Amino acid sequence: MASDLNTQLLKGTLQGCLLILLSHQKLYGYAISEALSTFGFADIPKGTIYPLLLTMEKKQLLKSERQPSPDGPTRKYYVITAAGKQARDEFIAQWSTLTNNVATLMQKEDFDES
Amino acid sequence: MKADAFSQQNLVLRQQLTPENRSYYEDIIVYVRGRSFFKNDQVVEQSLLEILQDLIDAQNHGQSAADYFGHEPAVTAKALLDAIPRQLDAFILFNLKLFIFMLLITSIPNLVSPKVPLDYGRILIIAVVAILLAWLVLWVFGTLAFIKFKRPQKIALGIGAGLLYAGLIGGSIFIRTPFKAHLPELGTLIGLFSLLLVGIVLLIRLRKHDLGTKMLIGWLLFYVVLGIATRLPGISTVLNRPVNFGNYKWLFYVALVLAALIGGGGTWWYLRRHSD
Repeated sequence: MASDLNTQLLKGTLQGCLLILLSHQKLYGYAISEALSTFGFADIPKGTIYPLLLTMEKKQLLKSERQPSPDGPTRKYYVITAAGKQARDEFIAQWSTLTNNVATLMQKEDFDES
Repeated sequence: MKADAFSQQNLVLRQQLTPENRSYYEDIIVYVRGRSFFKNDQVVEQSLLEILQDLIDAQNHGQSAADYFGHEPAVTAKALLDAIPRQLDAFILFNLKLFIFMLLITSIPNLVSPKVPLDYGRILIIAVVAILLAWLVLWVFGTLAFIKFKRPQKIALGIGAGLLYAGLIGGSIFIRTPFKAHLPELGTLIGLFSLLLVGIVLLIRLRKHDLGTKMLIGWLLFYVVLGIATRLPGISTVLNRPVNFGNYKWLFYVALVLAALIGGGGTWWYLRRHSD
């Protein structure tokens, strides 16, 4: 049950996380998965990011370009678009509201219990 | 880069995967390619290559393909396919090319004898059935991609598919339709000469490793040359004369069986050596 909730939460937030990551620099698939692991998303099966990246590309939140990677071979790099930046800002605002609301609710629960 | 270039690169890079990781990845490939009807071919191949490059990276960092990509590859592969845009025009164009190619394959051997009318109804039926069958086979492979069969099951499936294929090929011999036509001799001869030239150019221009296509073109050119020879004055009388084997007719049948065995065995050997 806890795992299901975690998965649902991740599904809803992963797109926003990818937008934030890619607004700092353009990255390719494996580099994105490494970055996600660095920020605590190590448990996500990285296969899930590929359909999501394609969907985001279809929605024109990202665009892709092929260029040589630091390891040598040409890779597909993802670059955030103007629409992507706007979606990122909306996500950050919504996330802030949500976390504030949840924090307030949790504080009220603590208050009631005491 | 075009889809073909991506898939060629995929073929080369795949060698870097360990047998376990390669088997895991190839299941994904079979599923995605087998189910990618109407999908943008270039995006399909680019995505498969992207995943492969990342799996190689993960492998180099000590992670197995399953640990990296996930332990439910079927679910993820389906999600990937759903995310790939549809491209109906490319699908129609591809099938049109395939249809013309199938028409050539089925009609060229029928042009060998100038006396036999061309059964174009039969040719059309075979071409359409062959295309539908090719898509059906691809779909079945895609559907079975993530099922781990035991060796006897694999053998039974192979034999079943072989029998079905042989049945269809054998059955096609008995197809007769009333839609027949005698082609004009001069026009056919010009057409055959044009095909000979196109075939030779294709053979020269084809990539070094594309032996399968070269063999197919070579086989078709054999019939084209025969078709030309049976229409040329002088040679035609010799070639169109009925052959009487007399008491050695059995030798002809033995040669036919041997040719079938060599052809079948050769194809099997080639496919085993070039399993990709």
